[in-house]
Amino acid sequence: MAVFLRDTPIKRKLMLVILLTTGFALLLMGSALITYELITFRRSLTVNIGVLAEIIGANSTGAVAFQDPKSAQEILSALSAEHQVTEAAIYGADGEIFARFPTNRPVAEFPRRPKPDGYRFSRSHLAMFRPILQQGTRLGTIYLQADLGEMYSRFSVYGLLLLLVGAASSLGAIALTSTLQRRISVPILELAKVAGSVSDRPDYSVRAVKHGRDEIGQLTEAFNRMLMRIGESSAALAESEERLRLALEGSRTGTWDWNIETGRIAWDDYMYPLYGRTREDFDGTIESFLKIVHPDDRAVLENSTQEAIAQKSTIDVDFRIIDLDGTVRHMASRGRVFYDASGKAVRMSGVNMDITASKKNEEELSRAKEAAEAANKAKDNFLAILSHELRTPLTPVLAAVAMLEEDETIPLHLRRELEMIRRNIEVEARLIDDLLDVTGIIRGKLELSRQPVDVRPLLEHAMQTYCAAAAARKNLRVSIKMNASETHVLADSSRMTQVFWNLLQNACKFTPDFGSIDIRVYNERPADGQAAASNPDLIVEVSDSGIGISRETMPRIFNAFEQGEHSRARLFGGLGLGLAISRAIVELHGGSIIATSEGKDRGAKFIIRLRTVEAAAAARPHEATPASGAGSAISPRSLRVLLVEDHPDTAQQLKRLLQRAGHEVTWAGSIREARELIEASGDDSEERGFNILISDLGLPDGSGHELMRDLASQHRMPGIALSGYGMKDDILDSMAAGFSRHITKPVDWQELKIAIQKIAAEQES
Amino acid sequence: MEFLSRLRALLALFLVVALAPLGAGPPPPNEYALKAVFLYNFCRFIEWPDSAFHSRQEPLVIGIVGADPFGGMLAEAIAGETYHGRPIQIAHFAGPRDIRQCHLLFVSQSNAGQLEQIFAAVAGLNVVTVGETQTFLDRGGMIALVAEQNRVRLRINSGALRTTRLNVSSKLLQVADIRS
Repeated sequence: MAVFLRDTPIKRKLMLVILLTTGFALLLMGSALITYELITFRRSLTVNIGVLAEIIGANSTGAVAFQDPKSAQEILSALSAEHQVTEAAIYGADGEIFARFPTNRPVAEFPRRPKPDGYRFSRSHLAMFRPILQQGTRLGTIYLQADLGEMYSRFSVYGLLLLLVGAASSLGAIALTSTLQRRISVPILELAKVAGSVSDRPDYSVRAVKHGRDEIGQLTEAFNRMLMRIGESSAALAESEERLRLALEGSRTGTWDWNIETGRIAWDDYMYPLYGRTREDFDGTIESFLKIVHPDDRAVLENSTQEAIAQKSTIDVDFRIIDLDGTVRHMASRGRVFYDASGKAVRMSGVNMDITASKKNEEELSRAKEAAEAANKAKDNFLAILSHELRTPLTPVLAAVAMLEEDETIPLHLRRELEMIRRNIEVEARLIDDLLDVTGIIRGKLELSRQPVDVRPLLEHAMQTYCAAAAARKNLRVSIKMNASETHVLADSSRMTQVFWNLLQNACKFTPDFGSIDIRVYNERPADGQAAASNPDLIVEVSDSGIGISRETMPRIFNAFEQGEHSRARLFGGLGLGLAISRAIVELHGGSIIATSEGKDRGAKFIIRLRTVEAAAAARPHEATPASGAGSAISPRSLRVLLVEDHPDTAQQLKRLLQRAGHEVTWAGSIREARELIEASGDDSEERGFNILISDLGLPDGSGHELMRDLASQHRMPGIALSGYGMKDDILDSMAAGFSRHITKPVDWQELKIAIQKIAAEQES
Repeated sequence: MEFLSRLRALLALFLVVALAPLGAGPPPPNEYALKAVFLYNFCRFIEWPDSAFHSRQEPLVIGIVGADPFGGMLAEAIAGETYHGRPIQIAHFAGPRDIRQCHLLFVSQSNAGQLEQIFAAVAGLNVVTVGETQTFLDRGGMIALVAEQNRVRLRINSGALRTTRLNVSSKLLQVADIRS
């Protein structure tokens, strides 16, 4: 039944429901009616028969009391009008039948004796016994029997009626159902039709017609809303797909999806043009994909893939592909790996982009950068070589002037000329040195040898050496105020002297006649908080009343090759390297240098800040300090010097200077020559051999290092290297080769003389 | 109690009736038993007004003039019975001059010669006179219990009965032969 009902159409279901309901209602009502009817019938019958018995009983009291069966019979015979009553009898006080009705029925068919008072129903009859009373005295009993046939016939009429009503209402229900069910099934069928049409052809614009506001109406409305939502989201999806399509198309990007388990690679439509392939050229296997990839990049691609899978990271790899026409193009692949619940890599998907253009740009850029860097390097090298080559010729000139100046026979007027020549050559040498320093700074080759040193003597030395004369010439008032208790810093003394000299020289240069220069030295606690316990800073201020620095120029004054203003460059000369070098040196010392000025023609102030060190650490005098080195008295001792120098002029000048200092000099122009001379002189350095080697490094048949290595190992001969290069690496190389000293060209005669004396002293000790 | 006594009376009646066919010739031996019951039954069908009694407790008196033909049967029939709560008593009057207050007055055949005096004695006193013959009625009696063919028949002189102010049930009239 249930299964049958489940698949029957709603129409039939509805009909069945209505029929069953109607039938049940009718049945219930009929039963109630019949039951009620039965009860009321019985009650009314009982009442009727009771009344009848009462009347007859009352009427027959006389007959009973006075023994008159005839009149009793007469009374009973009145019952013939009462068709319900089938029999009746009157029993006397003695319980014997006194009279009966109908009279023709034998006495034996009546109850022989009266039953207890009351009534009782049998299947077909109602039997009633009632007392016959006269003034409360029982005279006898009246008995009446009623036929229930009428009741049954009435019930059969009811049954028939019920049947008729049932049939009529069933017919009516069927008729009603077939019209009413349309109100339910038609909207549902319509809804089903719309749903069917939507699923056949995805047109989400159709709408089901709403027929009412009942549940089906709500269903229709919900269905329409659902259609609208689906329509909206599918439109949004289509729009986003369109956007993605345009983006992918526009950016030359395609998406790929690699099913790791089956090994199949799926490409979207953009991948094929991206790879210059058609669907026939690429069958979705890894092999056919790798065939497209540039042979050199296949391993890279496979490695990055494996790595991405192993490290559960994303893949991000650039590789090349080869077009069908042989063109190489660059691709970038970005994607991620997907794992199943057990952590196994099952899928990988991502995007591909053609990055050929950006790759080309990148390559061009890097080529351009490389070219620019090379050009810059070439420039630096050129500057280095140029300055070296410019410096070299000055060495012999300086040596010659120095020698001449020492010649006491030179007349005084020539001596002044000589001094002028020396001064100018020294200025030029200084300029070239600056240039060398700058190139060194640019190439990061400026090296410091820092030791604890007292700044005061350095400052004084710089003042006396480089500033005093100029100040005197221009009538400048120079004051120096030393207010510092801590004056030791960890510094390269020669470089620090250079800084002071630069500042003082600038001050002299840019201060007009009769101006003033003030130097202040004092201590100051460092500005940063951590310094409370540490050493104070040493401040060196150099201020002048000169031309000042304009606001526009201020930011650039520490830049190399820039002077305050170009017009000034012409007026004051110089390369404008001093401040750049000074700043580089101070910063290499961990200090700072700043400039301040009130403005143009209002003077300038330069402030150097350096961190001091404990005076104790700097207690011992330092050899490297030019001030201390210059005046030290070391007794000259005659040495046999082997001078190796390929530049004849330089060699001649040095030979002459050395000879004048009392040394015996043998000159060699090359390594080979030097070796021959050493061979010739023999091993005995004490008698005939050379005591010291003074050698240029750049020789026509090799480096002076080679020579020194041999001599140091075989003859334990000390040596001094002369070189146009004075960087730390150059010095270290020289030391490694066995030289005791490395002197940078142009050779400062004083420096050389002291170096020789020291070596001599070491040899003696 | 009442029931038992009645039962006894009925039983006696039953015995009389049952034995009746055994008797030979009139008058049947149970004639007076029936007449005693009938006499008593009149109380059930006739209503005496309260004015017929002197007080509430005053009994209903059935008077018998002259010889008593019932023996103890009347006493038996009324034993334990009441009339509207009043006891029922039997009073014997020797002759017409002895008649005193009563409600029913049985006049036996032995008094046939004194009927005028008897009726005069009870006239206007709401006393129902009961005799045994048609003659009794014809001479002014009210109810006659006439024995005929083994049965006792009621005969009523409605004109005489109407002289009293008593309420006589129609049911009594129904079963009686009415003579006016």
